[in-house]
Amino acid sequence: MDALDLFPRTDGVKPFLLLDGHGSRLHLPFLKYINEPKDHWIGCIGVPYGTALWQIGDSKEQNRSFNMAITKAKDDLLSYKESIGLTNGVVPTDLMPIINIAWKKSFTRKFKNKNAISDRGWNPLNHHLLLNKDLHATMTTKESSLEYCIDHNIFLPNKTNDNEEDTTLTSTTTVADFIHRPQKEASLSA
Amino acid sequence: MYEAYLQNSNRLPYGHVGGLLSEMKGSHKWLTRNIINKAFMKFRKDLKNVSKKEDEKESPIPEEMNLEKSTISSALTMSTVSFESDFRLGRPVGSTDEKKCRDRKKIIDAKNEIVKKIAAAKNTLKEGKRMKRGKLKQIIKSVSVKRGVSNKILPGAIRRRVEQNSLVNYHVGGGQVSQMQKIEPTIVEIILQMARIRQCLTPSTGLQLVNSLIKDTTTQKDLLEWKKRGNSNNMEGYLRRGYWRRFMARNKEKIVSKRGQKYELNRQNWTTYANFVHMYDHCINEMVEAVVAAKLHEPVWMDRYCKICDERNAYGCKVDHKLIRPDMCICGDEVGGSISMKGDGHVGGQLMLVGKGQVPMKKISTNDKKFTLIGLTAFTGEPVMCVLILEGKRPNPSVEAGIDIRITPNSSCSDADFIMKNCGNGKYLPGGPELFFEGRRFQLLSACTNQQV
Repeated sequence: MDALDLFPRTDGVKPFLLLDGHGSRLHLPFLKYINEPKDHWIGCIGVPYGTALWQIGDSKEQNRSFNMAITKAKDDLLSYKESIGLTNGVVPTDLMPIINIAWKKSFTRKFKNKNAISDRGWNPLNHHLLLNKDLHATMTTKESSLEYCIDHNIFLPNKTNDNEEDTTLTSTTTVADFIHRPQKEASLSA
Repeated sequence: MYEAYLQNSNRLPYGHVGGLLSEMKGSHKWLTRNIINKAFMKFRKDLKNVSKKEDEKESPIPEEMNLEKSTISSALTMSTVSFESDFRLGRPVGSTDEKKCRDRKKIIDAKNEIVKKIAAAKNTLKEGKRMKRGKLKQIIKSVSVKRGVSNKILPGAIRRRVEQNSLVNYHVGGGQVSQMQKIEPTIVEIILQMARIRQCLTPSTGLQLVNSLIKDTTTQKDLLEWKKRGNSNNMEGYLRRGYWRRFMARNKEKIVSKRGQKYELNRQNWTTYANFVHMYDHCINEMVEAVVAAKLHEPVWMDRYCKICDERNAYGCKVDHKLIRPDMCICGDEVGGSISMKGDGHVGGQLMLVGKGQVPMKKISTNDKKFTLIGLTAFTGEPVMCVLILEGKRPNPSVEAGIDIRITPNSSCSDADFIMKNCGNGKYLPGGPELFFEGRRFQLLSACTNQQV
């Protein structure tokens, strides 16, 4: 990409690269390359084991669509080959036409990509994943108290807060806590 | 139609097209439901194209981070941005069950009200006197209209209930109400929250939880008294499997019991709210350092297309940083594949016709050539680059160029310019995907490896 001058470093702007925690991202050649002063890259690694949530490539708009499209393309090609009397099945030289079809039906759809990006809170930078119910349920008591704090830099919309108000359990909460909760609240209010 | 669509959270309200159809059928006899649906889809598609063009016109680098200016521009385009890509007709998921539940409650309430009114009217009568002829039917009609009950309420059923002095019923067909009903919403909430924090309860632990919740409480006392009245054999004050079955049936819209899915411990440990907050904070800081994002003077609500809006239409949390160079931010992920069709799924689940008792057989190719594809996407949504890693010891030009047998070559194989004439996207030797990024054309980057891909 740098050889093609795809990301010109003008006005101090550096390209930003968002990666998963795969081992190859920490290999020396890669680290050396991104830290070259001439072609400096800013690389960030997302939460390991959480790629299903934050990684754009793992979205249904990209990888899953690609897999579906490639399966369909292989089916169609095999049917076509049968119809013209070829019985050699799908061969390596068929790979590029198949990939071309699948690529068009997955990664090139700009509008769908935009949706995948905004769903994961990357553009706009709206921390959208923090509204994910499963993730929200792992909040500690301290975090849930910070959530409503004015100085905190994350502002959740009120519409979600209303629903979660009385039922917020945290990863540190046990069933016993929940059972005694009404009593605690009553004693606090008293 | 579009206004109704927006008001109903981007879905056409149920029966809206039918209403329009019956309204216009008199003047336009040729009109059908499909014509209306298609016209509406086309309208939305056109609208989407207009907004896309507007997006493209906008410069990726704002001259200055002027909040007021962007507010005005967002206000101007607000009317055209709030729609989703999926167009779905019909009622939202779960609304049918909700409606059934509401209707059932309406009937129960209406019957209770009628019974109470009739009982009160009977009490005011002098001994030996009868109610005025048609009074019962009149009350049934007025209450049904008031409560919006369309089902027929039989006068005989009301008379029987008044005779038996059964003024309040909790079910459509009569029957007792569970003493546990008042705490059941709490139990349901606990079960749902425990599932969210990935500590799902099993039916037996759920029953234990219920028993522990009511232990030494007034609910348990009520339960015991109720059991005494019913001459029950179980006087221990504990609930058993029978209760659990009925509890599940009562709350079937909210909770179900199903087999668990394996969830990695690592994922459990890493996928936490705190880690995601750190990830966002860290990445945004780095983006600011890379001068691709800038802090806003004041946090604002934004919709999913980066337009400033009010909180009601906002998507996600409040935005305090804005990407000023989304074209300089890229992300990529690899996807593996093979030309073998062995592990392919049933895309779309296409059905096949076959004789009864026979199994439809589908031919598959088992030739294998594995590959890994890395798609790099900019945060603008544009694909930047396609990297393909092929399995093999040395590069194979015939695989890299590919052969599209569905296309007839331009010239004979023996011609000197055969490759020049037939090379390129959409030709006999198509090569990899072509990309256009920042107005420039790029070809696939391919490499081969003898390692496992």
